Amino acid sequence: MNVGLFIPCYVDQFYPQVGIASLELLRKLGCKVHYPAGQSCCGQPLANSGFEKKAIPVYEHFVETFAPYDYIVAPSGSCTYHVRKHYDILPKTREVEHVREKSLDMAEFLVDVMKLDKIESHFPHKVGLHQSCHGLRGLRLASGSERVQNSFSKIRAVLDLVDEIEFVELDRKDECCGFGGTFAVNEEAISVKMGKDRIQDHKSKGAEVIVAGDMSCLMHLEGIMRRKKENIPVRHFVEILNGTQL
Amino acid sequence: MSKHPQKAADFIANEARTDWHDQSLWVVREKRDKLAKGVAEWEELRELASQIKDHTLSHLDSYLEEFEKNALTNGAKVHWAKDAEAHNQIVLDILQRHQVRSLVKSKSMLTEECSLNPFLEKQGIEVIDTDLGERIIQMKNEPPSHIVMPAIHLKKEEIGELFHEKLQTEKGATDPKYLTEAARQHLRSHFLQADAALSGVNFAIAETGGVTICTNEGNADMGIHLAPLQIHCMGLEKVIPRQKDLGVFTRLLARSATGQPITIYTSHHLKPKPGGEMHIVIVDNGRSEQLGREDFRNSLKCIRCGACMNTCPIYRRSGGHSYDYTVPGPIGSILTPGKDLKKYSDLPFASSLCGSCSDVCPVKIDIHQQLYKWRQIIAEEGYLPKSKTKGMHMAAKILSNPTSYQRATKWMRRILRFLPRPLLYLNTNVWGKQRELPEVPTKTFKDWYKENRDES
Amino acid sequence: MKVDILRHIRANKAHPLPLPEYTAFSYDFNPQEKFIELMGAVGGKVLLQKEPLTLDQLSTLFGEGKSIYSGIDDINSHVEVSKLKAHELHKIELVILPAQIAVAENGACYLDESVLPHRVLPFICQHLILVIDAHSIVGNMHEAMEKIDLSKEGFSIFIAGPSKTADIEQSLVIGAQGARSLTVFIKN
Repeated sequence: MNVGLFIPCYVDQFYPQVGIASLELLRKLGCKVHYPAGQSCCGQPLANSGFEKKAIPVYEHFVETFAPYDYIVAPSGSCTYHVRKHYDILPKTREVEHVREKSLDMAEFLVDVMKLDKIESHFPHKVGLHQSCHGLRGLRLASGSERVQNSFSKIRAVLDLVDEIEFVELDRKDECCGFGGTFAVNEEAISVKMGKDRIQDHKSKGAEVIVAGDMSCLMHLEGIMRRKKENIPVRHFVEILNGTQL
Repeated sequence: MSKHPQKAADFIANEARTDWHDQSLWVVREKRDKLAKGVAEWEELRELASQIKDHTLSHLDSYLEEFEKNALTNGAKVHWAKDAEAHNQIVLDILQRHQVRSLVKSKSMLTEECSLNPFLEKQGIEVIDTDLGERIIQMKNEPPSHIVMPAIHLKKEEIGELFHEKLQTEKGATDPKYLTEAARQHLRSHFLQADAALSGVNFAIAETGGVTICTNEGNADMGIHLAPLQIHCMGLEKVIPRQKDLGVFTRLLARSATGQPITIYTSHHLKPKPGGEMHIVIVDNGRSEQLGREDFRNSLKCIRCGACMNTCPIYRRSGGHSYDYTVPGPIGSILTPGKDLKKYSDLPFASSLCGSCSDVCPVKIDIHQQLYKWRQIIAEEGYLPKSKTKGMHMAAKILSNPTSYQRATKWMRRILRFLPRPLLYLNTNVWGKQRELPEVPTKTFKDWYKENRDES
Repeated sequence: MKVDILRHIRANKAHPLPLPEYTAFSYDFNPQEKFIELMGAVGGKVLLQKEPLTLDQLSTLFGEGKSIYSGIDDINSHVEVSKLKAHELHKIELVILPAQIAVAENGACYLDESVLPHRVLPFICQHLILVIDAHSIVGNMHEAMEKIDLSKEGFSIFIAGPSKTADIEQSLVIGAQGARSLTVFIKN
């Protein structure tokens, strides 16, 4: 099984530790992982701004880069969702369909493909789990609070394998943080207010760290907290699975 | 700054009030969750409702004809209006034929959409909205800020002040019970005197030719049954095939809207009252055009429950008036671009695309996907700022070429690392107004990989 | 205008999509118990008894000397609705009407014009009393729709509680424009 690791552009630039944790974790679990150096971005920022047609060369580059792999795994529900859902405007060639089908978020890959049931990791902290929207409602990584179904969460399922980890119970367990890509600047006032409200929920429940499956949400929340000098650390869940400590 | 972002920022400037507004609506969302979870087959019902509506829209002409035929047999008079102007004129003609001086209305978002009230008032007809929330905003001379809870943006102190001025309640009185009682007495006098009553329609049943109206206050029935003349105005998408299907929709509507198992009153008006007249006005006003937009036609499935507003983190924090349209929130943001793409080009962007709206929608409208699709059209039609279009064009070039991507990110990192803070946080840095930019590590993941793990 | 609108629809509608077939969903509750629970939740009262409803009982519940319109055999009417003008109807304090069926899942009671000497009666009165046979309580709206016929009478209605509003700061107030209270009398 050949895994192509996709590290989203902003993770590559600002959060290399998340890429490192992803790679190390997958290798520890026995996967053959390769990081194709020519990769850039999934094209979502363009498409969400209304320029999906302009993003087609970006999509094509992505498909070309990742077509040789059995799975394309990324530590991002949002980018994965974009590839799976919105690459539907490309001609449905074998490569395109393969890349769309086999693009998985880390949580999906660990739960559905690797069937992860144990992990060597220890994290004795109270975690506030932020459910990033595209992973939650796009990839259905968890049961959303809107839907009537049995409750589940793939991120929570893998984190539950970690020793001594605890979770805080939030008032609003899956409300959006307000990042939303270019929304964060188009609607700056609302975006920041949404972020502040999420932070307050985590803070008031005693979260020692905010954990999510998308660094974009965390970049936004961290940015607000750092400005207000009230730092609750943020972590991607793969960092915790890989043994990172606070 | 375009319209919605500015209005939202103005709304949020009063943070305590924003929190109050957000929490009021969140409570409604939570009630909805509780009620939905009490119905084991909830998701199946949503799917059924969605399919019934899809089917109906794909046979809309024949269902409307069937509805009209049955309504005529029942003794109702049926009118067709292609737009708001025609609708208003039809209503005026009916009222004038009956020398109506005073009209009582129950809630109808359609007549808000058509601006019926000011039109009739100009003709010297007194129009009294009888839903409490609607009456409040009518007295305040404001548009509704929510389709189910039109006065959700107002505090009881403001309503108390308004009632003191208009209904002579005690100064400073804010008790909702006391204020509601005052409105009850005030409205009863209007119900008893009105020459005609006008209502919206929740469901028009093709099989029966009757219209179903759902209310909690009983105001629609008070008006309709007391006045000799009754008029029901409906958008043409309100038709459903059979009585049986009403069972599905009434199970979903109130649970989704307010977290009630059903509205207090679900009335079915089939024939005019003895000695009375019953008119039904079927209104297009852009709906048949929306039906022709393949990507957006299923927005016509909407049953106006308002659940997408209650769940929307943006709506809750910006208020209904920030959308500048009768139907605000997520559903409004996919209906408006079809009405006036230029005027409402900001609304599909007033969303983080979190998708919660689509998951609460009782008829499974893919609202957030339609927001995404409207964005594509707005960009293509050139309604976005030139600077943005140019920027995106450049970004596309950079992101599709590994060499230029490398070069560009290198420069960006340098700027972020070495530019002095005052220059980095200029006014033009919108992200940085209330947020820090991420710290820039010395190495990217790519750099690290090349040094440590490159096995190729 | 009709022709234009219909032509526009025909040109624009999607390819025919099927009308889903479905039957009433089943449930695992006791309809009578569920109905009583629901009525309590929406602010209605329930009387459950074998004996017929009496005037004494009404006096205990609503006070003596109330003007009554009764649509059931056990209680006599004080007023002759047909002799009253519409705007005089609000003087009737108690209205008693037989309901055809009641729905357990939402507390709704169904009645139609055949029991209404005037359509506004259940709304304009101060207090509404609905009488229902225990056997006529169905589980959900699907079952209800199978039992009723909306094309029979000129007007028909589901009533699921006393008139209410929450339009002022979402505070629930019972007694908006319609009846101030609803009592459902279940004949066991």
